[in-house]
Amino acid sequence: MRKVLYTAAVLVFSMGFVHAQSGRDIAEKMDSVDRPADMASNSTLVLTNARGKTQEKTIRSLSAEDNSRQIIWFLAPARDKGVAFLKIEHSDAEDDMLLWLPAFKKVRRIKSSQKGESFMGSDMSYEDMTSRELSEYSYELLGEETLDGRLCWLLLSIPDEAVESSYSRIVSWVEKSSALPLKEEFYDRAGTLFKRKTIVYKRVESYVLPSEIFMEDLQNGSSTRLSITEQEVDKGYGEDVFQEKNLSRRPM
Amino acid sequence: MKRFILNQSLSHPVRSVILSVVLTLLMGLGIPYVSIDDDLMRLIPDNIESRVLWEHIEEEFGSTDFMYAALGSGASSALTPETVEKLRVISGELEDLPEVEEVISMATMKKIVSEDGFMVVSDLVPDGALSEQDMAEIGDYLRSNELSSRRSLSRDGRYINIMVRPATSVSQSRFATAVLEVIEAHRDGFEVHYGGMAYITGEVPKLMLKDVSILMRAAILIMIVLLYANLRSFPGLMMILITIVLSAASMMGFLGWMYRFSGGSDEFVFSLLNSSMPIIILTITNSYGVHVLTHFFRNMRKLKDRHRAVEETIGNLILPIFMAAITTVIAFMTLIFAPIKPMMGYGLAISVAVLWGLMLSIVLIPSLIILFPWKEGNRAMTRASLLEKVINAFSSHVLAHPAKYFSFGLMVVALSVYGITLINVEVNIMDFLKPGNSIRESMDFLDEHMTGSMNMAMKIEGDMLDPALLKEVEALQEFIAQNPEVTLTASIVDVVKQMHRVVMDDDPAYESIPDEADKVANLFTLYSMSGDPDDFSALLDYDYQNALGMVQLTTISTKKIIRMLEDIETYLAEHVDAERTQIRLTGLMVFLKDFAALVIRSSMISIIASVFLIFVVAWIFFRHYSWGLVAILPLTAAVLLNFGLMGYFGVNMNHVISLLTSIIIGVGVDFAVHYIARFRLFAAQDPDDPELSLKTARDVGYPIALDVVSNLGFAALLFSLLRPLNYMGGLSLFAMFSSSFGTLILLATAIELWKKPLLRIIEKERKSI
Repeated sequence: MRKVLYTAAVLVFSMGFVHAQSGRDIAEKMDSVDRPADMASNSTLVLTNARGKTQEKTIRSLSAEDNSRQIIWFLAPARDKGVAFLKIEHSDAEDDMLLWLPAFKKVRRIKSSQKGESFMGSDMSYEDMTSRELSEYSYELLGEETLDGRLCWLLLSIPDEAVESSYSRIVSWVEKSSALPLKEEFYDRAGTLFKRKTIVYKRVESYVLPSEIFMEDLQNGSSTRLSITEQEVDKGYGEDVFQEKNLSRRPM
Repeated sequence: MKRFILNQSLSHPVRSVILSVVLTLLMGLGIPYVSIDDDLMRLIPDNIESRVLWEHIEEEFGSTDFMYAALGSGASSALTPETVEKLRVISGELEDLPEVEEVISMATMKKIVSEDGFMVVSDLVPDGALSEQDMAEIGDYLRSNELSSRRSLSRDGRYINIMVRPATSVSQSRFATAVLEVIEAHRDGFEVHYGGMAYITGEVPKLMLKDVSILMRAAILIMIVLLYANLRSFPGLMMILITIVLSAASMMGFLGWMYRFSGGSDEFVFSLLNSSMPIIILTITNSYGVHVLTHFFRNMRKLKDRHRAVEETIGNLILPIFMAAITTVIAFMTLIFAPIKPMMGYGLAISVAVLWGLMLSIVLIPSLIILFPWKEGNRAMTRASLLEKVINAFSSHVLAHPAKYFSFGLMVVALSVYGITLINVEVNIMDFLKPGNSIRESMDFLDEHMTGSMNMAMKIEGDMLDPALLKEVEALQEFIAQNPEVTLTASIVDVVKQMHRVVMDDDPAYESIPDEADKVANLFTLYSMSGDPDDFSALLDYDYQNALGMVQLTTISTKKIIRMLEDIETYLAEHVDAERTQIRLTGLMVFLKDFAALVIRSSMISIIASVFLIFVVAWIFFRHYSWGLVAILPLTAAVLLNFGLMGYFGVNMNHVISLLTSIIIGVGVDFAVHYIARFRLFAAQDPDDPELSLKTARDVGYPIALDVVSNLGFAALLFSLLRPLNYMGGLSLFAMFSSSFGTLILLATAIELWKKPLLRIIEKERKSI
């Protein structure tokens, strides 16, 4: 009898342990992954449209505070060279988005009404480029799955009704050992599978950072591959870097 | 051979009937494999230059031929929350369809405005519940953006435009059905009008197939009644019908088997053009059956013995029916070389059915005659019908005045030749729809109230960053817009101008092309970053070397489109630097025009080749070229008469008519061969008979007349609101009348007038044997 009680206690304890690994816990783990304070990188964007035509863009980017401040200079193709983009996110106001048009010698402020707008004509939206606020989503652990030999949690994230999002739900394959998302599937507001993102990571100094992001638009057949190189971290870029005046200056 | 065939029905009638049915069944087992394909694009050869260009544009920018829908609630303005909400729902559902690549409507448009120093990119129709204030803002924006306004609203503002672009891999028929399903599900309380080439080419074939199946039933019913009224024998009528049905089954079965064995080849699909096949095989096999039955009844009247009557009938008819079948097969086999893939299956399947119809006429019908317990005193065998009496009187009259009637016939044909010069080649697809047809009315509405229902694509090649090129395109758009049928032109130039204005603080003075390439490049970058990337890639390729322009038009005739394209060519040669800029125009309507011209040309070649081959075959069979010339006389006269009358009565020549002209060949050769064969037979029996021609005309005249009368049922097709079906009905009737005119007037009088030399030829031939 004592043996039975002991076994039951172990089972109850184990179940309690399983419950402890809730979706929310996993999201918190993901949120607590160490990130650099700022980062500089060169990136190549390869856009492929639904008809298989490709376009390549090279950019130099500086970002801080988990991408909430970002400045981008276009390096190639030649026709885009010199164009620069600055984005500063505000939690209590609309984001600032400025575009430097060198031929006009003008900075245009862009006010986009939707976070779902395409980022630089790619399949990634501004929403895809910003990290998700932990408190703005509800989470559910759907199970476990092995992806390319790596054991993952299958995490469902649903944006709160008050949150402006172009997605109704996001399913992430979160690697258990690193708490990093390896793959994510995005469903549109109608509940149809919309986009799929796969991410490859590499170690940069003490951080594990994305080195390649591949985003497919499953509804129109286009895709974007973002390859990130020459990553530098924690260089101390302060607020003075993310200024309008720097848009017309050569990239650092 | 003749004996062997006769023996099959005389000695083994049961076996012959069983074999005929079983063999037909074997062929008919292919019917389930028949692939009905109403995709018009499948008919169009892929090497027509305008199609090559169209496909190139499609590959680069997606499909350019839209389907349009105008949506209104009957209110004085379409800008009401209810209508726009309805539009939002419809646009959303349409965008979710796999058949749809893009929906352009107010609900999917972006507005790019300069606002307090900000360039604001937002949806023209905001999310959430719509208010009157939202409507006012949308109205204000559209008033200041003419291009957006004209694309999204009717001229009087009462209807909203929905432009739906098909996915490239989808047939227009499937696309049109899917779009209609979505919109029709929401049309309650709203008025909707549709248009666009994608809609017409998708919907017309479906309407045709629907109309054809209803009207053909009526035509066949009338045919049965007329046949029975003249044959006055129910078993005789059934024997003809069995022959027709079994021949048609063999034709469709053959097409199905070929489609299966060829692994789904385009050559063997049952396309829109193939819908004339049942009519053709019906007229031809009906003719064979009528010949056999009328001769049998006449021989029974004379011989009073079933076996002897069958022997006499088949003995005399086997050669003319065989020859008529062979020449018809040769005529239809020329279609194998037609530039349209399904025409190969068309020609082959009709040829197989004609040969099977021949076999059934000379083996199955006689076998059934032998097996059927005929009642003595059957009216069909005892008395001549009214039609027979009329046609005998007519032949007596004509042959009493051969020179007069021959001259009259020749004069009619000569006048027809002049009429041919008046023929107008016109393939305005709208002309296929008579006033009153729902599609036509819808299209007329779009022409009157919206930006029209047709469009052309303009492929622009060159460095799109070059302001000089953009200015050339701008000037060309202005030139094209001068045509009264052009309602709207749009290209990347309009985007550049709009972006320039926005960048320059919404100053209308800057709604122009910048003078520097760098500025143009900046504007493109700005647009690609702020607008929907799909919008951008639908207008300009990734290399900025190819751009797409659109020309919206009201319904336009082929003549006008040709003139407009020629004017544009001249303009381009004079005003556009070919080194810098290359501009070409295409679109479904442009290459449909080219396609129709190709079909007409190839049909004409096929008709001429058929006539020549019939001449050669008749020469070989009747052993003298004179018979060849005589054989082609009625059908040549019938073809000339057909085209001549078209010229006089202003019936436009189009690809449907040119293809259907082959009915005349099929019928004309049959009548002529029977007449010649009978004349030669009677001449061999008694060359000195002074009533030789009259005897022939009386013998052949009745079956010919009965054939004509029984086909009067095709007049039912004249009641369709679709002109191609009118052409089918009209041409079937005309083929009958003109071929019988050619045979019973021209051929009969010509043989009578040149009787002596023809008899000498027969005499010489007899001696040589």
